Amino acid sequence: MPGRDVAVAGVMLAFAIAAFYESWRMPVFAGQYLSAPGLFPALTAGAIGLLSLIVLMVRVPQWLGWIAPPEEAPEEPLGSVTLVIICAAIVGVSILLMRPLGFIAAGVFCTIGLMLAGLGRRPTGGQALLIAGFGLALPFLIHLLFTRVFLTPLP
Amino acid sequence: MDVWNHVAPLFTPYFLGLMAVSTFGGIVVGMLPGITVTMSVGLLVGLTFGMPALDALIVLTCVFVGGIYGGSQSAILINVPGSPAAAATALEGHEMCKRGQAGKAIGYSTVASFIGTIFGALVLFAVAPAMAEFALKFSAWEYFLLALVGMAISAALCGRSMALGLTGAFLGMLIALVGMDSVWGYQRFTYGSTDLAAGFSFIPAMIGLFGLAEVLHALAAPKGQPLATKVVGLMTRFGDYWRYRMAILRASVVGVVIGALPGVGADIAAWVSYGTNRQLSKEKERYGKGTPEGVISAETANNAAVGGTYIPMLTLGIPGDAVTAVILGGMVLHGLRPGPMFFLESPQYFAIIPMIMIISAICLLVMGLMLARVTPRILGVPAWILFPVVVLLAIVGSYAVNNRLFDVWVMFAFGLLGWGMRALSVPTPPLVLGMILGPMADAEFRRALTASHGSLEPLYTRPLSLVLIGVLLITILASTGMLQKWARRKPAPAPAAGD
Repeated sequence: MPGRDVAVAGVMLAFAIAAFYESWRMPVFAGQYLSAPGLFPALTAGAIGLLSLIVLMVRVPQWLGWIAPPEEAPEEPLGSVTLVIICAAIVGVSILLMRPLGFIAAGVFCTIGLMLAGLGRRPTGGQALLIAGFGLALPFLIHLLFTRVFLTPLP
Repeated sequence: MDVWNHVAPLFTPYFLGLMAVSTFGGIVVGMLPGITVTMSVGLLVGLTFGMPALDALIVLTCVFVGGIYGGSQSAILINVPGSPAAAATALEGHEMCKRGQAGKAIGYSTVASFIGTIFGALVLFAVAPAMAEFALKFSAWEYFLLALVGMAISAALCGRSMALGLTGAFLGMLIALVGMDSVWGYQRFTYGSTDLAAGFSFIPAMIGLFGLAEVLHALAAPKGQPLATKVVGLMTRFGDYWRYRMAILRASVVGVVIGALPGVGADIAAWVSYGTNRQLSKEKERYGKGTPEGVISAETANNAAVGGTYIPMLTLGIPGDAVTAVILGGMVLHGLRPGPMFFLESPQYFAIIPMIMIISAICLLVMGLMLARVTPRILGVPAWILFPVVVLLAIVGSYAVNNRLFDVWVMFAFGLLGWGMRALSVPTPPLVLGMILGPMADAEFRRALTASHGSLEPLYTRPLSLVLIGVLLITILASTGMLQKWARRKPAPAPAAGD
C-alpha cells in the first residue's frame, strides 16, 4: 500500500505544480487581485501540492522500509486488469464509432464485444445465439426508447 | 406551510403507480452486485431528462430508497452487497443465511429498512425548514468554510487516509473550475476548446465515475452464487422488534445524523450503527454469528440516512452523499435550485419529498417481501448479460444531457478515473463533493475577499465562522489521531519537593 500511495502522491504533486503554474499565468483584470480568475485555482492547486507532500513525507519512509507501515485493512480484490483494459477499449472504440456509423452500429459492437469479453471463453452454440440476438436487439430497443419515448435525437 | 395542499397531488393513480414502479426498480437494481444506487440514479437522470420535474424527483428518490434496501438481499443471499450501504448487513445476514434463516434475515432487513426510511423522512420534514431558515444567516465566508468542512468530513470518514481523501476533494474542485469564470467570464484551463468552455458536465461525469467504473470493476471481479435457492419464512414477529427497540432507535438516530453530514452517506451510517449497537448490545457474543440485531442495526441506519442526506442538499445545496450529489445535478437540470433560497422559492418540496419517501417505504415493505422469493433467480443473471445494458445506457444517458458527443467522452474519462481511484483505494465521494462545491467555494471566497477588501477579519470575528473553523479543526485533529493522543495524554508527574 505505501508504494501505491507514493505513486498517487507523486502524480498529484506534479499535477498540482502544473495547475499552480497555469493559474499563476491567468490575467488580473482592472487590478482586482482579490477577484482574479486564477486566485482560487492557485490556492486549490497549492492545497493539493501540500497534501501530496504530506502523504510523501509519511509514506516514503514506510515504502523504503525505514519505518514499519501501520496495519491496514485487507484490500478488495482488483480482478483482471487485462479484462478491464479490453472492456475499456471496446467502450472507447464504440464511442469513436458513434459519429460516423451511428448509435445502433456502435451499440451492436459494444454489446457483443462486452458480452464476449465478460464471458471470458469461447461461447457455446446457445450462448452465441443469445449474444447475437441480445447484441442486435438491445441497441435497437434503447434507440427506440430514447428517440420515440424520451424524444432525444441520437446520432 | 400548507402540507396537505402540497402533498395531495401525489395521491393520484399515476403518481402512486410511478412511485411503486420506481421503488420496485430500485430494489431490483440495488440487489444486483455491481449496479450501485449511485450508478442507477446517474443513469436515470439522463433517462428522466424529458420528464416534468416532479416526476423525475419521484423516480430518483424512490430508486434511491429502494436501491439502498435492495442491496441487503444480495448481501444476505450471496455475501456480496448489492450496494456499499449493505456491506455491514452481509456480516450478520449471510451468517443467518448459512444457518438456513435467509427468509428471516430478509424479513428483518425489510422491516428495518421500512422503519429507517420513515424515521428519516419524518426528521427531514421536521428539521429541513428550520435548517433552511438558519442557512439564510450564512455570509460568503461561512459558505466557503462550509464547503471546506464538508470536504474535510467526507475525506475523514470515507477513506483510509484523510490526506488522500482531501487531495481527491481538491482535485474535484479544480475539475469543477474548468470553463468560464463566473466573475470575469475568463475561460480557465480550456486551452481554446469550445467544448471545455462550458466546463465538464456533472451528470456525464457521475455516470462515468459510478456507472462505467463499477461495470469495469464488476466485470473483472469474481461473482458469488446464491446460497439459498428458495427463500421461505419471511414473516417476523412484532415482539422481535420490541426486543430490539433500543437498537432500532439508536440506528435511526445514527443513520439520520451521519446521513446529514456532507458527503458521507448510507454506507458509513450502516457501519457506525452496526459498531455502536454491537458495543452497547446485551447480546454482544451473538454478533458475528448471525444475530437479527446486527441486520436490523445496519438496515435501519442505511435507510434512515436517505432522509438525512436530503437535509444539507435541500437547505444548503451541499449533498449528503454521492447519490444526492447526482440527484442535486438532476434537480438543477429540471430548473430547481436546492440551497438556502429553495425553501422560499419552492416550499412545497419540503413536504413532497418526505411524503415520497414514506410512500416509497410502504411500497418497499410490500414489494421487498414479495420479491424475496424470486431474488435467487434475479441474482443468477450473469454479469456478462447485464453490464452491456448498463454501458449502453451510460453512453446514451451522457449524450442525452446536452446532445453532445463530448459528454460521452467525459463519461468515459471519468469512468477510467473512477476505476483507477478504486484500484488505488482512493475514495471517490470526496471528489464528487469537491466537484459540487468547487464553483460555490470559488465564487463565495472571491466575493468575501472583495467585500472585506482582502481582510480575513470576518473569519474570526463572526461567531458562525468561528464555530465552523472549530468543527474543521476538530475534524482534522480527530481523523489524524492527534485529538485521541491528546485525550490519552498522561499528566506529567508532579515535581518532587525541593527540586
